[in-house]
Amino acid sequence: MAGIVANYVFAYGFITDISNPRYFEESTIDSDMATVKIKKRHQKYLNEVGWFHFDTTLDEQSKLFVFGERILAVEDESFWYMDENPDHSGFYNIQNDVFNAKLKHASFIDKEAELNKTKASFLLFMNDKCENNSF
Amino acid sequence: MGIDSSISIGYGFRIPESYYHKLLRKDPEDDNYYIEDGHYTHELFDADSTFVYGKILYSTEAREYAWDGNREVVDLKKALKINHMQKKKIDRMAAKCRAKAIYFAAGTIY
Repeated sequence: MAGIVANYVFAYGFITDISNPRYFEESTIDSDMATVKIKKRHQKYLNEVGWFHFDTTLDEQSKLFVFGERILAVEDESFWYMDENPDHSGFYNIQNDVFNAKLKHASFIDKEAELNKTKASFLLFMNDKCENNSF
Repeated sequence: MGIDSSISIGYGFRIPESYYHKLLRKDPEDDNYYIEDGHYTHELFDADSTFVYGKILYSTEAREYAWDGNREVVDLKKALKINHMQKKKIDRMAAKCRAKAIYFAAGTIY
């Protein structure tokens, strides 16, 4: 998906960072968020926090990732278009839309959290992923 | 492109238009419009003047550019803690307006 300019993500998971050798290739953990290599078997669970692809310097990076399952992602565009689409109000019921959402990988994420000596929870964060410099 | 925005989460309800005159103040600069008090009433979408009665418990910063804004991760259950008396007050007002208060998340355009 190219060109997600501003994307608020609701997810079930926990925070980790670029230095975690369980999820990132050790040879690349000193690099930046754009070039760090995520281990293949964990790729689908790792979400960048506030990564902006072509305007990122090492100092400006969050270096944070959320290991978890996405529940809802809110793009700015949906805010602009909400008037045109009455089904998408841009007003979410957190209990129904997030806390009661069906999770496919909750027990796996809970186990991973335990291995990282933390607990999974419902999280909100911003993800500015912008692939192929399409912004 | 709508990048000049933020997201707000809180506890409250959308004020039905028929209750605007009871819960909102008239805009002193234009009698055709209503304004928020920023305390219990909040205007969430400038584009269509949606008003919420309730408490905003967390807001991301407004971003003019994609690289502005919060970079933190928010634990929702911790962020959504609300004072018991405030919650009761909001629930009472919701009942008066035949609405139901919820924990909400809403995008805001400035």
